[in-house]
Amino acid sequence: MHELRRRRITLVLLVVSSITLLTLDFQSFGPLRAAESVVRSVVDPISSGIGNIGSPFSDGWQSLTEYDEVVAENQELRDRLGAYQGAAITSSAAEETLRGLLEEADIDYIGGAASVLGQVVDRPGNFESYAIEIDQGSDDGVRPGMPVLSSSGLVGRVTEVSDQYSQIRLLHQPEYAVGVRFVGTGEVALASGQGVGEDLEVTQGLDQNSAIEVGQAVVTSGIEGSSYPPGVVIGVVSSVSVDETQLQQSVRIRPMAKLDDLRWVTVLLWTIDGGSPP
Amino acid sequence: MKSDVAIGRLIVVAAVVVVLHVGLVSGFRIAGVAAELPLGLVVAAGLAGGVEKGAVYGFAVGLIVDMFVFTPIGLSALVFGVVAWIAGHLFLDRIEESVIVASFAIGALTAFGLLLFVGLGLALGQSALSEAPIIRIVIVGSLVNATFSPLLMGVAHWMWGVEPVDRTSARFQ
Repeated sequence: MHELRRRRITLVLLVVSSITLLTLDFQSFGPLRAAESVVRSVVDPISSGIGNIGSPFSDGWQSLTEYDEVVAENQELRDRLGAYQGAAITSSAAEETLRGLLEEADIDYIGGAASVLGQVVDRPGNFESYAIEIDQGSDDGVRPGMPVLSSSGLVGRVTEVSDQYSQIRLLHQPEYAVGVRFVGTGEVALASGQGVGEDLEVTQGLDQNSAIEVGQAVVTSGIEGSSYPPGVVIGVVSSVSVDETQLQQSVRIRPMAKLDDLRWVTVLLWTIDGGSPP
Repeated sequence: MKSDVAIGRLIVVAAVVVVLHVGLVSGFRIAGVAAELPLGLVVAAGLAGGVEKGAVYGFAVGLIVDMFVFTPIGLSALVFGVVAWIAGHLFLDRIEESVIVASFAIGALTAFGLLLFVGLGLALGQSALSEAPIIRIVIVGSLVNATFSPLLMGVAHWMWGVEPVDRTSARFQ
């Protein structure tokens, strides 16, 4: 009887301790974040070293178990390299065109803002996340709220920052909204994520008479109070359909950035109050 | 065994498993799924150490794992602790006397732990968890841990400083 009671008390204590930790975590309790930072600063270099030592074996294992995928990936990378080589030649011209279009639409161009480059840090485990982590933190000038880009377009926004790491919420997170502007027509709307691998969906701001076309370029609106600066490339319109009952258009936007395969990203040192931090 | 030696062993095992989990295991995937070794370890710890010791150790290992994943701190700690607590009850029935039964218990409790993790995570608003191939993760994760169960049980016995149950004598009792 005594033994049974002790076991139950153990379980209760376990659950109460966990709930306390979860509550503190949801409130971004400072000492908990500090403890996390300390543990990671000890473990990360060791695990990274072991990962490097083991990488020839893990690469070999991957070749054995995922041979078909590796071959397909190799082919895809070759194709992409060819495309990038072509794109590199025209990128300057494209940037000029974009700059011209944005000027025409009276949108500020963010291209020259200060930025830091961050490498995406792999996190263990099998489960998906709507976030990534990079190896740049407050020591490098990164602050919560800063926009994050890949070479193709907007990726998301910095949500949490420690000395050496930053966490970034990705654009495809459901209920994560971004103000968008359709280049050419200048219409402004609100789009939100629909999950991993899904296009963004315009949820507010367009009526059924809006002249939106598939393939139209979409940038951040940068309207007052927006979390992003204006003129950052988001993607292109992938589908347009009219919802007769709701009297509005259903518009989807395909992000230019490959959100499920990010290796390097750029944090724009831009804050919502309109400037770059010191 | 002296308590400081025992605590040292517990820390060493937890550290080694977490470092391997963070740095190495993600590179060795079967059907796109990496092994869930820390969960397997805490199940073995519960089976070899009993209810209270297993639960506390599971909670501690889960808490360290929480520092490296995107889910809230406390979620893995809760799941690992509960799973080890349940495993500890199986210890009361001397389930570890059979390699096959211990292996089945580690596989089944790994599957339960993964499902509990996803269920509680979704309840806490971690909707990204539903994007993962959950069934595949549960099947591969539990099979891998069941396969490694003799190693995990050996480590757990060493860690607690207890001798494995003598299967020969157990059979004739």
